[in-house]
This record gives sequence, C-alpha cells and structure tokens, in this order.
Amino acid sequence: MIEVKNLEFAYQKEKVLHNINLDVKKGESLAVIGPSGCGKTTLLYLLAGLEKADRGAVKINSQVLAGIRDRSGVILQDYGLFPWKTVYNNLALGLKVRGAAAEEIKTKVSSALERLKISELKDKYPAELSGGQKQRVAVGRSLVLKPDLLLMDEPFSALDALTREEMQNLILGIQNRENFTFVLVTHDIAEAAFLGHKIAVIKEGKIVTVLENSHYGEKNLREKEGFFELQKKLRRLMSLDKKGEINDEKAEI
Amino acid sequence: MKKQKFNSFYALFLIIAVWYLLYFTIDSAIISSPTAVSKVFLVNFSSEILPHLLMSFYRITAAVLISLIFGVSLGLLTGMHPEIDKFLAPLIYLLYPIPKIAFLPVFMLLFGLGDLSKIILLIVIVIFQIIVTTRDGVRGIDSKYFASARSLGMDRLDIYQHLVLPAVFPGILTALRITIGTSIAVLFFAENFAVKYGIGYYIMNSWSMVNYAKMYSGIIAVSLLGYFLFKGIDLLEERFCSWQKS
Ligand SMILES: Nc1ncnc2c1ncn2[C@@H]1O[C@H](COP(=O)(O)OP(=O)(O)OP(=O)(O)O)[C@@H](O)[C@H]1O
Ligand SMILES: [Mg+2]
Repeated sequence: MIEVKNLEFAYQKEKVLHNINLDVKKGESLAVIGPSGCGKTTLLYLLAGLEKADRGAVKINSQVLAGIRDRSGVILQDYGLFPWKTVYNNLALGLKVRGAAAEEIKTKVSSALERLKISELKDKYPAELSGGQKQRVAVGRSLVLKPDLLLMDEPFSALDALTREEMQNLILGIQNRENFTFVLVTHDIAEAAFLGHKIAVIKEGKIVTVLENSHYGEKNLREKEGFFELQKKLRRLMSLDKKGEINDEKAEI
Repeated sequence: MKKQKFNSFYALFLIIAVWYLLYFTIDSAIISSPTAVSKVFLVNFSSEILPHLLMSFYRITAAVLISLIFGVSLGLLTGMHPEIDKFLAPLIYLLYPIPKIAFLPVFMLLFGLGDLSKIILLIVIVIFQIIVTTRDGVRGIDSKYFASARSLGMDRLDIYQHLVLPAVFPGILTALRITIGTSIAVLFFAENFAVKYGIGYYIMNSWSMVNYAKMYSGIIAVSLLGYFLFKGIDLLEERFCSWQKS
C-alpha cells in the first residue's frame, strides 16, 4: 500500500528528513514514534501529499504520489477543525467539496456521528467541545470519506489516559471493520506498541529501526507481558545516542 | 434579547436625562427642550425627516456595499498573494492617510453635483479600512487550516468559500462598525454641498433658518440612522459569527 524510497525533505535550507525508506502493506498499520521535532509531522505531510519530497518518492498503491489523494484521510496534529462550522458541517465538508448529493451527505454524516457517539453534538461549534469530543469529530471527518488510508498525527496526545485508551480501542475497532491501512504518528510509547503492526523509530530525521509487533491486535493486549517487553525495547531504542550507548540513566541523575 | 432591549432603553434614558440637565442649566435658545424637540420630531418625521433620512441611508449603504465588494476582493487578493501585496501595499499606505474629504470639490467636478460624487467620497474613505482589515485577517489565518482544507481535497474556490471568507468575516464587521461612524460624519459634511435631500442638509438648513427644534430632530434622526446600521451589523454577526461567542 505505501512504499517510501530514499525520501529526503528540507524546509528551505534546514534538512528535516534523511533517506527514509518504509513499506506498509494493505490493511496494516504503521506507528511512527520519535521525540519532538524529529520530523514526524513532516513525514506525515509527505505521505498525505501536503508537501513534496526533494528527493525520492512516495508510492501509494504502486502509484507515485503527486498531490492530495482522494481516498487518504488525514487527521492533523491539532485536528484542524474549522471553528466556524458546526460539528455536522465539519463532517459534511469533505463530501460537499467532492460534490456529493445532499441526501448522501446526510446519511453518511449521520451514521458517522452515531458510530462515534457524537450525534447530540452535531450543532455545536468546535470551541464548545472537550478535547476528546473534538478528537471524535476529527476522526469522523476523515471516516465519512471512506478512506483506504488514514494518516493521523498525534491524534490522542491531548487526551487523558483513559479517554486515550478508549479512542485507541475505537480506532482499532473501526479499522477491524473497514480494513483501511493507517499510519499513526505519536511520541507515546504505549500508543505505538498498541496501535502499530510495525513501529518505526525516528530520530533527527532518520529511521533508527522498524520493529514488527507480533502482538498486534491481541485481546487484552494492554495486560500482557509481551506488550511491556515491546515498550521496554522501544524505550531503549529511543534513548540510544549516536554512538549506540544508552543515555537514559545518565539523563535521570 | 430582553436584556438588549433594556440596554437600549437605558441608553435613551441617560441621554435624555443629560439633555434635560443641560436644558435647565444652560439658559439659551440653542439648547431646545427635549419635549419640544420630540414633538417636532414626531410631527415632522414621516413628512419631512424620513425622505432626507432615506436619501442619506441610500448613499451610505450604496457606498458601503460597493466598498465591501471591491475592498474585500482586493484584501483577499493581497492577503493570499504576497507578490501582489508587494505592489499594492505601498500604494495603499500612501493613499490611505490622505484626507479624502478635501477632494470633495474635485469629485463634484468630475462626477457631478449629485449623488455620485458623495458616494464616491464615502467609498474612498471606507474602502481602505476594509482592504487592510481583510488582508491582515487573511494573513492571520493559521496555516494548519490551509493544510486541513487541502487534506480534505478542497480546491481554491472551496478554500475561499469555506475557509478564508468565514475566517475574515468577523474582522470585516469590525471594520464596518468603525467606518460607519466615519461615514456618517463625512456624509453630514458632504450633504451640505449642492443637495436638496439628505439628513446633513436638513440639519444645516434648519440651523441657518434658526429652527433649533428641527435641527435637533435631524440630529436625533442621524443618531437613529447610526443605531439601525449598527444593529444591522450586530444581526449579521449573530447570524454568521456565533461560533466566536463560545
Ligand atoms: N513550516 C516549517 N518551516 C520550517 N521548518 C519547519 C516547519 N515545520 C517544521 N519545521 C522544522 O522541521 C523539524 C521537524 O518538524 P516536525 O513538525 O516534523 O516535528 P515533529 O516530530 O512532528 O515534532 P512534534 O512531536 O513536536 O510534533 C523541526 O526542527 C521544525 O523546526
Ligand atoms: Mg508533529
């Protein structure tokens, strides 16, 4: 589904991504994890077609990505909901600009609202919503477009731990049913371990490793030993410095 | 709603109270009695004042609408395209501070003595404020909304319709509020030249005929004109900008 080859990207002169290579199969999920400023959002923008690579290419379904894709859903870091549109109209917008008929918009939006349990919020404006509610609206706005690829930039980082887990379960549930591929950018280790089939660790614009998550999708994963092992491994990988030494302990003193 | 009505009444009450105070303390014919003026106002309203008021209302709304159409367009253009702004900004900065009212004689020579010259005078005063507010409003839109719009597959036209216009609209209303005050003052001045209708003419004409009661009636009419224009803008805001309140 996604093939990334030798991708390089710079904002003006500042090089942000170096030689990125990735491969995600259809129906799989990729979690991208790394510290703040390492280039996660930039990578997601490139996958979404919102920015263009300086070198290398992104292929989606074997086609070189040249711009925005109709069937890619994007959830931006702070959602990007339009403050002047109600929840309903935010969800309807993508369908509207695609020229969908009013009836179709109504059915699709209503069913998305119901599935996300936000029907009673449909006439509210984003400013009147809690963080978790905004999050659901952002998810809904992408899902009404029936994406085959969902790109999410730290969608749950502003939520409290319980709401976050609830949302993670929700995404997993919807993905199970609709079988889209998704890429999730996060700086939360547990989230990467829970939602990533594959987990790419990024540091200073380079991919350190891509881990396979053999426990992905298991029931009650959060209580399992393997889940914690994976997190430990991720933590180690993230705290390795350039020479390959662990500087976690040093930092703690 | 009820509260708003109360607020308007309270304002009216306060103004009348101060007026009475002045009337009783300053013993001069130039301050007419509020009761006498009210009587004159009510008696003459539909026959005399209303035609003048409507004429002024027409001039202001025509000028404001034309300014909005061209001002918002130019503001969007310069806001969205920095390369165009580079050429237009110096022009705007040089022309904006010129006291346009001094050009009334020129406009009257070029565009005739009638309505057109007055409307054009108002336009050149109002339009700059609208251009600059719109442009700055566009520039102030967070880039995340543009990313969000493009990710939804919105094209240029969609972006204007669903993102840029709604984002700058509250600012435009504020600019309108500010310019309406100026417009009325300028119109009052302009209507003293070569017109037979207009509330400015009515006031100054009553004054020169030493009919102070009518002069004050005209002033009340101007105040009402402003009041309804502001109320109109408030309604637009309530209708289109309610998302801001929360
Ligand atoms: N529009 C931009 N113009 C110039 N530099 C930028 C721009 N956006 C990001 N950068 C720079 O690119 C680098 C990577 O930014 P990016 O937003 O991709 O990081 P991130 O991993 O998403 O961080 P965070 O976890 O804080 O969201 C940073 O050093 C940042 O300063
Ligand atoms: Mg980011």
